[in-house]
Order: sequence, then C-alpha cells, then structure tokens
Amino acid sequence: MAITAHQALVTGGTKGIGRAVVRRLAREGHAVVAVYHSDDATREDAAREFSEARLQVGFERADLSNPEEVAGLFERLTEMGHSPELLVNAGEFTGDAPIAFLGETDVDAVLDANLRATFLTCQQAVKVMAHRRFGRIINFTSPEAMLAGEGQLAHAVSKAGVLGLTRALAREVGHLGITVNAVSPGVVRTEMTPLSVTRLEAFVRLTPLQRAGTADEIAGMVNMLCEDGAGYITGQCLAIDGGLS
Amino acid sequence: MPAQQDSQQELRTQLKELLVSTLRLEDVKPEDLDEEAPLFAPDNRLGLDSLCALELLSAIEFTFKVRFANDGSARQHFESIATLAAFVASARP
Repeated sequence: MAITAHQALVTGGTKGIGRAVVRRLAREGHAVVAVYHSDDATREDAAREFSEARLQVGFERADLSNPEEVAGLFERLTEMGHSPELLVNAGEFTGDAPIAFLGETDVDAVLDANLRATFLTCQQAVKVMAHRRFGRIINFTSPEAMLAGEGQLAHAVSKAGVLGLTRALAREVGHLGITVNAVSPGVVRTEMTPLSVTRLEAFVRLTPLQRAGTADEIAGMVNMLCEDGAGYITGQCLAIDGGLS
Repeated sequence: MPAQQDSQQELRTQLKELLVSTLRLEDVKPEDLDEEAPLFAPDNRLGLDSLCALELLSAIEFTFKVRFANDGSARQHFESIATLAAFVASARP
C-alpha cells in the first residue's frame, strides 16, 4: 500500500508497544518524535537502538496529563518545524487493584495517564491537523474497555473513555480530513505487561489463537491506519487480540 | 488613540476576511459581516455551528501566531469578530 511520509508523534514511545510503533513508523520513512514521561535510562536505550538501526527519531520528555506541559510540547515541536500529522497515543499506565484496595489517587493516576493525556494531546494535535486539513489519530484502548476484567476497574474505565473520545472526536473532525481510530491490543508480552505470568497464561487460554501477540503485530496495525489507503476508516476500534474480544 | 483604533479596525477586517476564506462562505462578503453579532448563536445568519470553531481557531493561531489556552476559555473569545480581535490584539507577540 502506498505510503506518504508524514511527521508523527508517538506517546509512550520509548517502551513496549509504543517503542515498536516508533520503530515501524520510522522504518516506513515517517519523521517520528517519541514522547516519554520521565524514564531517561529507557530513553537512552531506545535512542541507542534507533541510532544503530539508522532510524532518525527525536525524543521529547513531557507529563502529558499536564495541560501546560502538553501545550509546551507542541510549542517546541512547532519551533523545530515538526507539525504532527500522525498522532499515536500509545502511552499507558496501569495501577489497578480490587475496589476494596483502590484509592482515589490510584484511580486519578490511571485516568490522568490514559484518558486525560489522550484528550490533551488530541486537543493540541487537531489544531495542527485542521490547518493542514489532514491528520491520522490512533488511540490505544484495550479489550478491558468492553470485557472489564476483575481487578482492572480504573484501567477499564480509562480505556472505555478513550473509546468514547475516539468515536466522538472522529465525528467532530472528519470534515477536516482527520481520521480518528482506536486499536485494542489483546495479550501482548512486553516489558510493560502488568500481568503476572499466571494471569497472562490465563488470558492466552481465553484467546482463540492460543498465544500472546507481539508488539510488532500491534505496530503493524497502527502503520496500516497511517497508510494512504486507510483514509476512509474513522471512528473505529480495531482489535488485534487473537480473537479475545 | 486613533492609531490604536486603526489597528483594531484593521484586525477586525483581517479576521472577517479570514473567516470567510477559511470557512469557504460563498455569497458572503467580509465587509457585510456584523462585527458585534454572535458568531455561533443558533440563528446566526452565517449558518455557523460549533464544528466550524476548530477550523477557525486553527487558522487564527497560524495566521496571527497566537495561542488560545486549552482551558475552555476560547469560547468567550469566539463571541464575535470584535471579541476575537480584542483577544488577538492582546495575545499577539
């Protein structure tokens, strides 16, 4: 499928699936900036990997749940001539517990990282995309948004919120040439996977394909949504979960 | 302050031209726009709805190098051409 090179912004771009997305988009020729929260050691590791692979990737540090930091991030991007036409919200935080042990600050932290950050980056990015009358936004949700497993309350709420945000925003900005979709990865084994081996294996048993997915498989779907031929797909949630949902 | 008044009027004129071109309002002349009229009132004669706001906001930011805060306060600046001009005048570098 034809690929037009674009400027891209990937949140959570130094770890796990986000890092695989950065790698894939950069390999396809897009100019990618990866955003990370605070882990400079992981950023260094990602920078080393991309450099060795001769992939040109920029890095920006920001707390994306903070409106001022998000506005500042987009100001810096503008100053460096990077106007994202592709936005991939792959940043992810899990900190769940059964409701008896779940504090309101725990819930706030998950909602801030997963839902509020997605809203704030979308809000800034659509201004750039509206000006260009082109944009592709891909938000990360989860099968939990619909299946809502026990002990995953805050995460399920945040990902259901991302789904609603995605569908509503798709309707709002479609006339400007901007598509907004969600991807929903199933069980994927990365260093970010919050599940114990036992729980992960339990999820795999529920998965018709009887295996965990790979970060590269998720990145492949994200890349597909960025391709020229995906311009008529919007407001959708694409599950890459081996049939789990 | 005649110079300031001239500048404010020039800004309003630029904004009216930008509004007509950005929203592709055929059959509307910029000079015919009422600078004090509510832009997004349900019965506004331009037929604008709130979905036009993002496109117009983006065009204003890029044209005048200003930034609307993302705290919801943009709504009050979009009351009319006059309020938009006042905001741009205060926010321009």
